[in-house]
Amino acid sequence: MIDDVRGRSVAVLGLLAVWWFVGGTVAAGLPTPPAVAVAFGDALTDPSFAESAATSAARVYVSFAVAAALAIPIGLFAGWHGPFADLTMPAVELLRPVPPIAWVPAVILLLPGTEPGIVFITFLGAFFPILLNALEGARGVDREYAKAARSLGADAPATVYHVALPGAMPSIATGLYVGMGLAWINLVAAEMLAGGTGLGYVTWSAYTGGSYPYIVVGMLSIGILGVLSSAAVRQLDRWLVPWSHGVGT
Amino acid sequence: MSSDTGATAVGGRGRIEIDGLTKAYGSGGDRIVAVDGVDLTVEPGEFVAVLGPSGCGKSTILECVAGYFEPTAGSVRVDGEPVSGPGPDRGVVFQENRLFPWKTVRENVAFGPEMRGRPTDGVDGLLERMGIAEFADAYPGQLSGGMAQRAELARLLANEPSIMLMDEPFSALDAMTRERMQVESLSAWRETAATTLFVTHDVEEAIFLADRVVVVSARPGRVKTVVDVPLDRPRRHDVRTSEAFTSLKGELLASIHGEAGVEFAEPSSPQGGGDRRTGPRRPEP
Repeated sequence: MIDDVRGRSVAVLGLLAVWWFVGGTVAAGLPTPPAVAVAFGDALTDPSFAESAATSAARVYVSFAVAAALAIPIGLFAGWHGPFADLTMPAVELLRPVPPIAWVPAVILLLPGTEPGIVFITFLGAFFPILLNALEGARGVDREYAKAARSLGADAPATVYHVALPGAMPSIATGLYVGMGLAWINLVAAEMLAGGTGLGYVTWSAYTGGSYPYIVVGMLSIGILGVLSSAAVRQLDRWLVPWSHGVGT
Repeated sequence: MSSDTGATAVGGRGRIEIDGLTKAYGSGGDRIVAVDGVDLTVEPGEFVAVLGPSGCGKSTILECVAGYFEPTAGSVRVDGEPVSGPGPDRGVVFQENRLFPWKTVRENVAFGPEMRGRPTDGVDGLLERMGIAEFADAYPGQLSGGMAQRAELARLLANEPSIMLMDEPFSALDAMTRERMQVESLSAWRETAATTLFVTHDVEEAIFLADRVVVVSARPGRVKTVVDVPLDRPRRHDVRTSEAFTSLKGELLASIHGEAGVEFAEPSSPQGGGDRRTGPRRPEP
């Protein structure tokens, strides 16, 4: 545990050293760590900054929850039941590679106001990885368990719930982890374009306003919130897949 | 029939009628006939062993009774009704355990009653009786092979099936654990009075357990002989060295080797020529 903490400190201090060195030599415009630290202190006492962070976090969590609520059942059913996959997955495969930025014009046209647009683009980031992992997870479940369930009296829906879902859960947990990361990435892109509120907008407006330390403050804040969110999803994994955290296995 | 098949035999339920059962896989030149025209009737409460070399289609017979496959031709009926799919009246124990890895042992055993809306308060007593109470909250991945098969047997018993279908359930276990599990399964059978179809490639196991032994030939699987086992019940391990046992074993080995042994002149192993399993085995820790 101590080694763990020490290792992480080394990594963070290393990043600081590289940052300082690069800022002092090749990229003279880069705000130095002390300047950013001062700006960070200012930001922490500024209520509008806290509000931006809260807005961004709320957007991510709402989008993430909606994405999980839709993607897990669809992916699970498609992975478990071949014909349903044939019916839905070609459309998914077509939409999945479209980058989040490419959605922006369509979203501006189709959705009223900026808030639904930002939430939708964030949602897309989380939706596809969760969907595809649920699908692959369900495909990978040994059908012998379904036979056993049927012979014990389970009907088809109960077999999905008691066999396909838990069997796919390790993969779904991976999808949630990846999806959380992509939700943050898409959120920041959407906020920078849409403007108004949120950490992405704060970072962008720091650039347009010329307060360069604040750019780094925005970047660091997004990084820290992203790390915390991913850690929360990792904890979720221990709760969702308790059998794989047991002894030996 | 034996004297200790249980008083009521679940009201005489659990009669299996297999009639001209044929099961083929693939088509054209790749067509493989696994089972060809098998007739077999198992009376309620009877213990029948289906004995044959690996790949002889004996598991296919069992899986048709379980309802996992539609027969290509012929029929399987249980208590007069054609089998149309898996059901809780026919419990199955597989060779490799199929305990749900994501449920604890107790949750696994309670699964059947839960699915059928039955009370689950008998589960802990059952775990106690099967000697796995201390593993109630463990996950199957933490169990040894023998304990896992015990848990699987408990899961089946919790459902009170009228038929038990056992597909080489102990073949992956070491010899000593296997012999203990054979006795356990006889106790389970006596308690439940369930009709039992037990697939095995082990001649001694078949004789030790069954009322009747059905010898199935290889490729395609056909019933070759049916031999009654005239040994008293309850059976103890020393019956294995009795004269009746060894002469029956000789008779069955001759029946099996008649095909594989003579034609290919294989050096005979104790259990017959084509009998070796090549699949992965789980070591017993």
